[in-house]
Amino acid sequence: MKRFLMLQWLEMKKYWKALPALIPAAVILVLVACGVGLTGQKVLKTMTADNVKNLVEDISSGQNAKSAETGETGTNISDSEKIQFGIAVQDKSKAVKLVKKMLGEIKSLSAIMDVRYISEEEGRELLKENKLVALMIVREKTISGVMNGNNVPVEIVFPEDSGYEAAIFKEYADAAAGMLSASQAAIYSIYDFYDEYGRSTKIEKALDRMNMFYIAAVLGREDYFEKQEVVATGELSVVQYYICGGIVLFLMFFAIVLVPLMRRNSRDIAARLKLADVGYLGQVTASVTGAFFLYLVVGGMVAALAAAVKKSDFALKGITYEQMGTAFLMLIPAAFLMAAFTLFVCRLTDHVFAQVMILFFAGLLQGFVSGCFVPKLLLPKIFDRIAEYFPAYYMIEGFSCVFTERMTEDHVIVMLGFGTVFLIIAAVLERFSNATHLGRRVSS
Amino acid sequence: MEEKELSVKVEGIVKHYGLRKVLKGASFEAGQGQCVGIVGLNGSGKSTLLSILAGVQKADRGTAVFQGVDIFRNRKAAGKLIGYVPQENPLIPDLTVKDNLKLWYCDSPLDMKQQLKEGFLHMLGIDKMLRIPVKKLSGGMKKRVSIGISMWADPKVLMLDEPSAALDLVAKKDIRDYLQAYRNQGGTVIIATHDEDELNICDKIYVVKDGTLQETDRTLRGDRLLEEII
Repeated sequence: MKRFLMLQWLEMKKYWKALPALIPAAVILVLVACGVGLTGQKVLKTMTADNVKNLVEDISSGQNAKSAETGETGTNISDSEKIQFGIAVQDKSKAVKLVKKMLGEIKSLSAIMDVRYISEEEGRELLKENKLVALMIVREKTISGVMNGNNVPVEIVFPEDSGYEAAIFKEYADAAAGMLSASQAAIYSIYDFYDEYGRSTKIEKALDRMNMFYIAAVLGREDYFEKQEVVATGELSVVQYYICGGIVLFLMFFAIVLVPLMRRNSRDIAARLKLADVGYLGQVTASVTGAFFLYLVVGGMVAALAAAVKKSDFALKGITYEQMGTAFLMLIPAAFLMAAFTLFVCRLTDHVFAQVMILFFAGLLQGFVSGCFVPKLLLPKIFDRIAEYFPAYYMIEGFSCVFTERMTEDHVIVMLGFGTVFLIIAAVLERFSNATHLGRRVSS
Repeated sequence: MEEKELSVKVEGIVKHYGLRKVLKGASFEAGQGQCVGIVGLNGSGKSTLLSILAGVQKADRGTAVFQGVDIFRNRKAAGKLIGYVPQENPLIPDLTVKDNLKLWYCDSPLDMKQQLKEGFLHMLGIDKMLRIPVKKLSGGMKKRVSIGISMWADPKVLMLDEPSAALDLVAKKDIRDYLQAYRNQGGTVIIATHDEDELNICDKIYVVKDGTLQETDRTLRGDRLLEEII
């Protein structure tokens, strides 16, 4: 035990001494991660929600007056480039007309979307032919259901490989549904209010009036989409999202600079340590401890730098010190995972070039699939399913929790689990490599 | 030699690498305070034999008793009984000499500071290079540190695999002097070597030939020794 602890201490010392040489590499990686974030943010602005937001701003500031007259849009989206979505209305109520009128009058929507009222069958055919990005099916009694609380759901059908256009539509639909729910809640609260003051008998009469106000208030709100910010990064702001992605990319690519430090000890040392009560698991654990320690030190330095930047009011205004602290805590399982993963790769092969290439492409692939470069929402659904098998997915989810403030231990447990598995496999590979090298696998 | 003086008794060691049989029943003996030299062609099995005795590899067959301990059955005791200096220096290159020593002497019956001040670590000249990272040491310096590290458990038997390979004359002499001193204190030395100068301190010389060890005249040198080996 004493020798194991000493080995751990010496490994940490080894990594600490290498820190000055690694700092330039770390700075470059931070810049790369920032570059990716800024590029991604720019791409998002061009492609999705910010595009809509800018469009709305243009319209509301009157810059589109001229283009409106000519039938052109402020962002030069031609009719052929507009997002095509269909609505199949089966509800025969009079309120449907109001809904159609509302949709037709929302300029921000009509600027980027073409709404087609079609039958369900026709809509599904068009979906198969990829001529629609989404089909909304409004079933019978849907509108009255919203009013009376029965809530007949509106069905939205997306194609198999839905792209970012579908994601935009989904965000719009979710936002609208959220607003409708809030409006309903308002009505129910008035209902409860009547009940509490013993005016239940008046409710039936009041209900009709309330519904009328409700329809006027909800369906008449043309400016709804001007006020509602719709982003493709889920609950996070674009900046927060790319901070998460940047941290994860940094962790994954920093592994490359650790490769020279994770060289395998000579087989004689490994064997002698084993005889001196430090087995292969102990040896790889010591190495992982060193890398883990270095990750924390570098992470701490980046966090301190971020805090200094925030204090100077230069940037990071939307991030609190508390969130920075929580992100650093989240770094603990993530650093362990990455240290173990790096060691696993270094024990997989002895060729430095192969180790670097594996770490680079693993980082790139995981980063892309897990949404570090482009938000998951904008990627095909299949990527989301694949990403669940990659550690980066849980790291980015974990760091996202810092900002959504819905921290659960699930992501931490999965990260620690992945790390432990990599550690054990690395120990097995270490043992196997030594045994093979030393000719223990006798086949005579 | 009387049985009680016998320090090392190795019998019938067999080792295969795949289909190739490297050792076909290697046997030898060494008394306490003796130095045994093992010579042979490259790839004849000298290093394999020493690494098997050091516990780094496993033999397919055979027995080895050091100081009355069956080292194949009691590996942990063997680790403390035997000091082993392999061809490749067993050092961590990114650490300093002191850190490398600390790794082994942290659990040692010997006091590292004492040894550096006036013991064998001082004799090997290691006290003068404590702060130097191992990767910056010369071959001779690394070999001295390797020997110093192999002594952490105060072993009764010291095995060295080509200790003077690529060393200058001064380093070779220093190591020979140290081995002589170790023998004088009752330690047993086993050396696998190609260097005739090292054979001068040996009481017995074994030639590895066709996977077995054959004792030869310790005074043989030059062409006559070569004939024995081939």
